[in-house]
Amino acid sequence: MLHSRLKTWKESGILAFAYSLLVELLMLLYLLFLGLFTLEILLPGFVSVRINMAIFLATLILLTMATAMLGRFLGAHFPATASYEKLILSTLIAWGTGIIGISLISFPWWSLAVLLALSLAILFFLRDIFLEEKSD
Amino acid sequence: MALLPLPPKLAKRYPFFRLALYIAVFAVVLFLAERSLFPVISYSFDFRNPDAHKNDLLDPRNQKGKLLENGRLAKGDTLFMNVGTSGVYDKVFFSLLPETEADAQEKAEIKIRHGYRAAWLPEGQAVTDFPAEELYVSTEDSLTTYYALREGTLYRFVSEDAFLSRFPKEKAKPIERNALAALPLSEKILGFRHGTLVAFADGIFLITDDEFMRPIGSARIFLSLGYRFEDVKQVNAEELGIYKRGKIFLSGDIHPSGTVFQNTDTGTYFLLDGGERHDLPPSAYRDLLLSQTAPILYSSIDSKKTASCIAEKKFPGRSLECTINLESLMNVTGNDYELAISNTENETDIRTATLAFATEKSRGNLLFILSQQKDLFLSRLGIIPK
Repeated sequence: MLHSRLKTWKESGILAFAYSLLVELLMLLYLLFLGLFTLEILLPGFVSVRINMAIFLATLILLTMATAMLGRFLGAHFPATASYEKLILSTLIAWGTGIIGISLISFPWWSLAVLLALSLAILFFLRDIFLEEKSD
Repeated sequence: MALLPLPPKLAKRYPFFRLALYIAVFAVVLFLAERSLFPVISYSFDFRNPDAHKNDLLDPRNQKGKLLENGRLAKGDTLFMNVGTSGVYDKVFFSLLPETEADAQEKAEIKIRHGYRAAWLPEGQAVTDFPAEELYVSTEDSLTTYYALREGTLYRFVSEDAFLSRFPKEKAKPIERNALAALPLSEKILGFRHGTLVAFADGIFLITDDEFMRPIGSARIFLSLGYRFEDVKQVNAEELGIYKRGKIFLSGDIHPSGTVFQNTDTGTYFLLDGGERHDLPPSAYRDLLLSQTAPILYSSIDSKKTASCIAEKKFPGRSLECTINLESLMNVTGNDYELAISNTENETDIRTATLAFATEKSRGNLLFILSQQKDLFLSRLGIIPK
């Protein structure tokens, strides 16, 4: 019954329509979550006292799973391009660096040097692993 | 353009739905911003479940200070409760639900005051000198150890810093090894002066007595209690290890014994001890306390200011409600509010009492809240705002 109804919706294009809107909604919600998360790191308690971030995140995960299932049902496939990957990765690195930088601002200089050296070493090894996987 | 190919009819409709989606998300963002900047924060107490954790109006008590386990109020009684909150509010909605229709009153007088709970405590005797202790110092093998002799038993101080948080060096008399060995040594180790703020790893703790330290809930709570990060003493694992971990210190909790306050109206000081305020006139002890920590500033005049309203029976139903204008209390220093419900009518039985703090949405309040958040952010970075 449900399967035949889904099939009808799929053929009429309604599911593709809903899926396209859901993906856009997800992108907006992830951006909103990132913004709220950043605000919470900068001003602890400012967001979490008023808004339950756990419920927000749980809703986001459930919505992502539902969208992924719908995408699989519709056979949607979007191969990520290298430029898109680069954009996402560089945005995340810039955001992460900013957030970590702010949290380390009052650390003594020697611990900053140690943390920086360790982070660079980890990044270097991760890069090697990542490049190896790509070449395989 | 949609992600997947759509039939022409749906493709034509897609941009409108997309626009509606963006407008809806934008509206949600505005709603969240409004809720974050101008929150309505409710606190309540349910007398049917007086031990429930969700009761966040604290310590319901009568005018004699006796803690109440039920909501019964005789004629002429006043019910006091406290709440700790660090926001900026200019009004508070009060609501009271009587247990039954028979308990319903026509009206009740509601008063509220703002400040630090410590400033409303009863006054005790002035503290003019160091606590009476017999103190010794042993400097054997280049190791300096301090002791207190209590009822014939020696108590060792965990470190020199711990001793110096309570007494100056010259208060301790030198003692020889032989004399030390002749006295029984307690297993209990003495630590820092009560009320000392200490830091270990990434936590800040309050030494509340000789046995317990309590972690402070958050940077916001720390600042709202009037503490300064510069007054936090860095300690090691051994110094902190002598204490048991108490429950988390939250807004609404009363400052611990040993906390020093300064009245900005008179310039005088008081020391909190045993649930009482003790005047601290000029003395060597006061000098020692002030050399270690800045006092928490408060105004005795502002702390006594009250705002009030008459709660009246709401129709339909039996609850009593009113709104208190808090503008006159907005600039009072402190994170505590004290609520007083006076029963001027017959005996009653309260089921729940609720306070909902709110801020009027105005440009002035928005700027004030944003400036507070800026100060909080700067203090988090270690930059103390002017």
